[in-house]
Amino acid sequence: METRAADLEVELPEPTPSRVGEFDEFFEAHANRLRRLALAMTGSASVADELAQETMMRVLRKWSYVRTLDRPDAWATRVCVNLATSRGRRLTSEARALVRLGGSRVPTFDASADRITLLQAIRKLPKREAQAIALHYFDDQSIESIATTLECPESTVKTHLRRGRQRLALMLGDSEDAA
Amino acid sequence: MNVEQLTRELRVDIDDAVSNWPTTTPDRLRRRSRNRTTGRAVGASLALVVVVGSFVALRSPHSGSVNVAAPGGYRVLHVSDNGSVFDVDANGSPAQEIFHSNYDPARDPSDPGTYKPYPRSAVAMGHTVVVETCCTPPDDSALQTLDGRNLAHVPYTGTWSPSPDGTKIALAAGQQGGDPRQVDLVDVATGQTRVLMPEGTGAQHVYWIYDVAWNSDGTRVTALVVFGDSADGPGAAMQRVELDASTGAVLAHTAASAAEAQQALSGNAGLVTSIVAGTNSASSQPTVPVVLSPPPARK
Repeated sequence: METRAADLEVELPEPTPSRVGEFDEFFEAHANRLRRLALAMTGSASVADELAQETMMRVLRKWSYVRTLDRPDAWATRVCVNLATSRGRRLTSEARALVRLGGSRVPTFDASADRITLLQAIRKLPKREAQAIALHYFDDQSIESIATTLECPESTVKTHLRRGRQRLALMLGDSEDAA
Repeated sequence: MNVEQLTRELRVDIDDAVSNWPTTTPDRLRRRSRNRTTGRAVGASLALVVVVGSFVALRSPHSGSVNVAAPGGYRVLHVSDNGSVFDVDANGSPAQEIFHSNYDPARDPSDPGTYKPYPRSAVAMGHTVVVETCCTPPDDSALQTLDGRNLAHVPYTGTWSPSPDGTKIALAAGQQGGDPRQVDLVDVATGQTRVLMPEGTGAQHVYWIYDVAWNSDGTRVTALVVFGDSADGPGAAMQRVELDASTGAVLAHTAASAAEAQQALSGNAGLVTSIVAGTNSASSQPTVPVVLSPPPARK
């Protein structure tokens, strides 16, 4: 994959202690939430862990900007869901995750067959629907919050959720929800 | 199977799993960020050498490194940062714009990479231009024709490879925005597409097609495929699938070599025709099964 000039990052100056503390607090508050979200969208524990770390690294690099936002968590969430549905970046994360599988301490996820089927079905949804479903059901976000995160009107979020649910129901053979 | 009920149960499972995962500390993240910065600087230098080298090789009629004898040859195009594609003049500088991207760099100034297209490559062959980009939203890739009349939108186009005579392109593609799980053949002159290896072929689920390539006489297409439900799921394995380029019949199905797997997973699939297709090359290099084992259970 080509490397773009924009990808070349300069060495960051050492952050001041107060910013270090702020980021650490943000990390503690949101790291597991991002992992959960990424797992719901990718279905792979190792990839989800990698994506959550990637998201946090981006937050870290832009912390001087992100900390000034009204909703830094929404910024991080948007990066995470975009990473989880982006082919090229997911591929990179998978490659990194595969490399890390050689280690002994890797994240795992076991679930029953029907729940794994649900995860696979979520991955087959169109991107926006998958993002809306994941944010609503696996991150407890309201319609308003999802609209902020995805930068779209609330009516659009409702449509994505409705269609996503219908698609999932069709894929899983749930005639009640599909209707 | 009730979706709402199943979703609630899955949520509980995920919460339990994530709370037991090994933790990463902010300090470890900082170290990793610094290490990657250094690594990227080195990688960027190497990538620059490869890109410049490829450009020179593709433009040179005497180059031996290009295994394609297309009528009229390749034209390597320039892809701008926002995804627009330009023809190049004799000096290799951008000239006429042949594909205009509507991407607005001001869309999200805080993190341009989140929405920005990632131009990867653009090659003109006859009337067909393959533009491979990555952006969110709306599309990850597009297959366009130069004259714009036959705008064939291919959602989620994956890697691709031109035939030796330059008349066709083998393309890993997805259906309805899905991941690339089928192989299409595109006629360069007409832009018409037919499915060579449909999604759902065989008993195993195709997770991802990492690369495609042709043999030297253009009779076979080899796809580098990961079978399984995920790249690291139980039983996932990377295999070579050789297809008859006329009928799509599966001619051979073998484990990928370690080198092929490494090449594909390095992220270079598509830019480099990494598979050495054809029976001669396949028999001359040892192949070992590359089984992507599930992660070991945590102790």
